[in-house]
Amino acid sequence: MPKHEDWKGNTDGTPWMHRVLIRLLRSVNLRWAYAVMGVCVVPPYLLFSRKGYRAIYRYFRRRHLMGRWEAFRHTCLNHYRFGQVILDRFAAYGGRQFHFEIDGNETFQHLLGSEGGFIVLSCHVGNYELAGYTFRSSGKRYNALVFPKEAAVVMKNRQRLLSGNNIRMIPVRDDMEYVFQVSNALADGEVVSVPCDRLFGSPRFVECDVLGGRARLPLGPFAMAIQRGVPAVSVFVMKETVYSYKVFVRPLELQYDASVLRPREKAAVLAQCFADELGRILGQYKEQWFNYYDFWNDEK
Amino acid sequence: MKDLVTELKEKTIAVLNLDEMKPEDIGNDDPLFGDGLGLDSIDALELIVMLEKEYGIKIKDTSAGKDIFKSMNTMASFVEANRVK
Repeated sequence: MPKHEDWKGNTDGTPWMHRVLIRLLRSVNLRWAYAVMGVCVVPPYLLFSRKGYRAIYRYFRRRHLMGRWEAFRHTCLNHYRFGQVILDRFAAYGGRQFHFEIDGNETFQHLLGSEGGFIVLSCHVGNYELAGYTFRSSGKRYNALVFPKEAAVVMKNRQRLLSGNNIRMIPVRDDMEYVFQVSNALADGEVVSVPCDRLFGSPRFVECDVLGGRARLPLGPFAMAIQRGVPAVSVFVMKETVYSYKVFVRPLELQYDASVLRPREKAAVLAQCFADELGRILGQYKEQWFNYYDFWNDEK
Repeated sequence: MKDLVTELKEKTIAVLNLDEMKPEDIGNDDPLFGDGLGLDSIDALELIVMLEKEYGIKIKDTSAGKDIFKSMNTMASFVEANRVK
């Protein structure tokens, strides 16, 4: 399977636009910013970003079995939600605070209190990054694998906010240094966070069932958990209201005795556990799927 | 040293499930990643875990990792110099 080479992996806009936006969002009410974005930014994206539009439209048609009009309406809503999520990040860079309610916090606290490391698996739903700007990891260091081509202003602000919260970014580059950093982090009892809906690093994948369709998830994050023998949790951070989010933390456990399986087979079972959680969250928050390329096999 | 190279080849084949390969199929200086044996980052993690379990080695200098796993010879030199088991 080819890597997602066509995925730019960066936020649109120039550095000065990003800086102006951060300054504006320090003083402007977010509702106004959402309104301007909804009127001035969403329509051009709907019109001219055809690939993203088609991917999301098909997502609503095939995964949620919507009619044409309903799928179109939800595609518009999805683009608007994505705009909100991006604006929230820039607002956070400017110092704005958001409220988070955590469902499954006991799971997370239990893992944080244990000696060993663990893996946090997420993907492009909701606003996972925003939680990193808010929560401070007091005990274990948090290591986030990131795509290295993000825009400079975004990276600088990410670095500033995340390092203050005991979070280290590990860029995935071809020199594979990230593999050694991740391995050492887990061996040292730290937390490693990995996105699970994009193929970068290794091109190997595992096919899973997500919302009734076959999709390819990267094998790497799941193989990492199995190889190092560490627990894994899925974390989804979903937008609820203008200033509030809900965080869903779920342990990913092999549901039956998997001791007879080979490591790669165990990784595939773990991937399906993640896919099941992803399907559940997308059933609840349909419009917060922000993966603007063809994720499912039948969309290619 | 020569025995260690063969031993590492056998362990690599076992841990990566390269069932169709034999130790003699892997040249001592063949690149392990990319054009050579064609390993990738998932395999690299398997090898890191294998070095920890079998030889008690933790690779602290992460930037040197790719050089260590350049070939069977480089891996053997590193194991020889750093093994605690």
